[in-house]
Amino acid sequence: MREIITENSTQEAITKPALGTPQTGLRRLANALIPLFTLSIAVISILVALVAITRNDMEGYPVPLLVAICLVLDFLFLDVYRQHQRWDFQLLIVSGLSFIFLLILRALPEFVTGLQLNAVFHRSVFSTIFLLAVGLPSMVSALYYLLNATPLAEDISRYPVILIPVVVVIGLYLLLIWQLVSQGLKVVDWSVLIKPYYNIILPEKYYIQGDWPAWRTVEQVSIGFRNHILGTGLLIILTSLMSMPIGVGAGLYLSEYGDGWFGNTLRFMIKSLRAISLLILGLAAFNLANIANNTPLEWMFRGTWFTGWETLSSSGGSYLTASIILSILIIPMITQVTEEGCRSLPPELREGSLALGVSEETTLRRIVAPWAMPNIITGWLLACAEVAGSVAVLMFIARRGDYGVGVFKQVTSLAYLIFDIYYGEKNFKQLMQPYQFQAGLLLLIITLTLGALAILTKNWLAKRFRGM
Amino acid sequence: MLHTNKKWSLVRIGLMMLALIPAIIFLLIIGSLIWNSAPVVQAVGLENLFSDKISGSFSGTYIPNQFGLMPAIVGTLQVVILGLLFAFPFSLALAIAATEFSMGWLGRPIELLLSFFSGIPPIIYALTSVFVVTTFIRPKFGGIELADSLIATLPGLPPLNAGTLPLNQSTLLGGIFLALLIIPFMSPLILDAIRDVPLHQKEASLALGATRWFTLRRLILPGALPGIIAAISIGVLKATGDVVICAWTIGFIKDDGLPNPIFDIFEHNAPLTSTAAGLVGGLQGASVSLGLNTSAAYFAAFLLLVFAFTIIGLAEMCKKWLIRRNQA
Amino acid sequence: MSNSNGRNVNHSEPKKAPRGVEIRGLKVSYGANLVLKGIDLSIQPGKVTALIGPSGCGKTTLLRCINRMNELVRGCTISGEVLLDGKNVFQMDPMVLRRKVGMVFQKPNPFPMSIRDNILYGIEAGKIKVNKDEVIRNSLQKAAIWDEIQNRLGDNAFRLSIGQQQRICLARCLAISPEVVLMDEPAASLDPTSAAKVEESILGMKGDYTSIIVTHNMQQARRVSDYTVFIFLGEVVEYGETERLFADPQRTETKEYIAGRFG
Repeated sequence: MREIITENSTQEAITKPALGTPQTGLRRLANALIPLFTLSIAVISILVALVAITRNDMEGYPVPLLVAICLVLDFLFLDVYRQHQRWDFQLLIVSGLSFIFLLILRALPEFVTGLQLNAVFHRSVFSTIFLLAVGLPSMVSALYYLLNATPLAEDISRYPVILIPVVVVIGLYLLLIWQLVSQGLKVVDWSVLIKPYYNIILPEKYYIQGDWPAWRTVEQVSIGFRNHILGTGLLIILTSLMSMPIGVGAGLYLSEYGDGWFGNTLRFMIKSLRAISLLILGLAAFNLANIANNTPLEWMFRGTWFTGWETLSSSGGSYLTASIILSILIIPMITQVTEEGCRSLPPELREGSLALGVSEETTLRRIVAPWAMPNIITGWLLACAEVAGSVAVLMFIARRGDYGVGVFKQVTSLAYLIFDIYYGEKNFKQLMQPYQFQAGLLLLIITLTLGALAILTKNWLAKRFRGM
Repeated sequence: MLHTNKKWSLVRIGLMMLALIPAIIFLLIIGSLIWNSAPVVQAVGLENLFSDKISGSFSGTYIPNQFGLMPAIVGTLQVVILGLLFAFPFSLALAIAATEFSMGWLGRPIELLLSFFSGIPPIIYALTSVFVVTTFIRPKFGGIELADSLIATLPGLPPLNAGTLPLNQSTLLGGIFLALLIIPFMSPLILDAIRDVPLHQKEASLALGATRWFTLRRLILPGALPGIIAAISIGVLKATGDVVICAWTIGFIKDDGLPNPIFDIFEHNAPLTSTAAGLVGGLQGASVSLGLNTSAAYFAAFLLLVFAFTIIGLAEMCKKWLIRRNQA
Repeated sequence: MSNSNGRNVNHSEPKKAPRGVEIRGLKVSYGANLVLKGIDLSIQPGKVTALIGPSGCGKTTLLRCINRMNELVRGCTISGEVLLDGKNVFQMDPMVLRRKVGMVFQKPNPFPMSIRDNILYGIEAGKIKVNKDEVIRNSLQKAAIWDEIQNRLGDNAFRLSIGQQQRICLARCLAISPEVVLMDEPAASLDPTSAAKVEESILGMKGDYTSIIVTHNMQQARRVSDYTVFIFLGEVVEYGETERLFADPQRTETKEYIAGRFG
């Protein structure tokens, strides 16, 4: 039976330097040489792999790097045995892997097809994957042995495994946002913000030689998306008006009286509203607009307008319809935050109020509801952002807002505009394509401002309503 | 909650009425889905609906009254699993970086960034997809640029039509963007799950001389597993339900047969959401009849609803089983 | 027991002579709040030393300095030296230190795993190669709980009573063969029977381990410890053999505390 912690190993464990304690300089350098070399090769491999994601011309690097990794890991394996009396087989496995990858890469032509895939792969796809798969474990091991294989070194050497994905993913998000912003700022015509879009054919009277008036048709085109922007605003207002009372009321009910089977069922159903796909809501909107067809209430739910010949016409859905369905989307959010806010009330405050003889309803009104206000307002801001960005709900009922913005007019919104430009008819696309990114930037600004407001006002709201 | 006998006051009844409204709407919506999908089920039958032939304008197969949704179902599964595969490691890394390996100062910035990104509406992600395609996908996986350089280097190759190479819309692209969509939602949940592991257990582990990595592996991640499962289920729900990103990056209808699950990630394997959108938008071409296409769209939506509830139920069961196993 | 050069061949006993702890000029503050105002102390190897004193006077802080658990708290500044057998613990790798200096906490904190996995946790963390069954048996025997659960090793540790859980925590700590064992009011949340069993284990640890136990219970300190330290307001007021300290305290604060006038 092997002794575990013998006296000698204890001594060694104490004298083996934690980071920063110097050994004799030369010995330390000699010990660190191979791990350092491994580390640098591993880092170079990872960098090459990351850069090669966007470029196709780094074909000279992967193969030599893989050869280097394969060899240096073998040396590291031997060096580890010399320094720490340990066989670290993981090093050998990674070395073998890199050898296999090396062979595969050399056998691949520059463009790879096959495997029933309707694609032509460039070889750099494989080399990136191989380099990352081999480079990361090498980096971890190299760092571990560079730092003398103490337990602290084990933790530190794992940092790259966590940090590299974090940097990559956050970088990707920032890259996409930056691209959108830079495209959106390359704008040609800022007046699109204040002009509505329409592309309609209007009749125009004109006179020929003083006799009878004649009609001709004139195509009037105005490029802009003022109506879309106003539409987004109207949607936010209408939806808030409809959803806040219901949402807050439901939230208050559930937090105060909602502990039995009835409350739990109710809560479950409201929570499930969040889980249902946006497609279902879009279809529901479509349904709502359609069942109103040919009924006396048609004018409310379908986007109506007066054509030039002064008759009522309708198509798609109205702002009312859209707001109703958007409220369905928003209400569960508001209910949840209201309930959370109410439940965060310290029981002492409620008990204090009741002990003074104040009725439960008044307690609700004067103590509980104000306490939940920060949550409610934050939730409302986030809900507005959600409304501003929603496309799926409007997809089937929205049109282009040619005829202005009003509760019973055709619904349109900034978010829908972006979708429309991509999938709309050719004419529309031609006219509005250049402004696509501008619209996107505007929408991004609106949504992020609402979100930022929600985050930033948390503290102020807490002070205002809770005196904290 | 105080356990008093609550009276049925006016306020209470009023609030209850308000709370009932969304519940009633919930039932109404489910009812309307069932009601509106009845026509197509009656007209063409369930077997047709689960077949793999659907008529559509993509490849021009105009078959009357074919509403096979199997390609769409496979498409949904494909794109959601792909999206999860991309999103989960990054979400986990973000959550771990913000809690355990942060040395204290990385946590708050990451959380702020995540809530920032979670406010971005899906349409914005979709808008940037063209950029992603031209920068990352086309040079690597075949596009006009690649086709040109391909033809230049290998003259003996049969003429490749750049139009047949992957392009602006593919399941791979959809998977990437769905992952981008759900990462800001999954990460905070995983973060909270990691934080909920009791501090005194972490202390006990460190007091035994375990490294933070070992503690993470053996104590924290198994302990956070219920929360991680909840996060995954939220991710799956958001991914299956998303319409805009799928429609933009994948396309509307796949009408040339059942896609091969593994190898067809470069096809337009439209998932259920965009298929339904395409059905409503009338992308069937000449085979639209009797308004059945919208009815088929409702049926697809109903399938999605069933799927969503299944996921919720599964997640709940998993969580309960895990908690029971850990606590008893 | 140890053979002549201090090495042990049989794992059922600890392998080395237990170490002593020297504390010199230890000052600890949490933020602006100075909690330990300069501690000089010498803990005898192989004996049980009790730290007594009123709440909030720094006993737990002192204890947690020895295995550097205080560093996990934000805003904690530590100066001074703590020497484990002559080596400064602040210059060691903290994880290596904690494998030599174990800790039992006030509130039992077993892991949500089986009893077996709990005991073996520290061994797996340190990648120590041992005979697992023997280690489990020895540790549970030392913690005075082997008879009760020897057939239930696969059960989840949460199913045990609080007293049993605390003994599991003690066994888990002993399984990695530390040299010093720190205990922060180990019997405080336990019923009298379990508390008695914990005290029985502590008595059994004399000679093999250096134990430092923080306790509020002066009778417990008298029963269990060889040396006692009275700490008041962040300073060592009096230190000496237990019998002598309780029978004939030198300082007035000690006298008054023992007499129950405050604390």
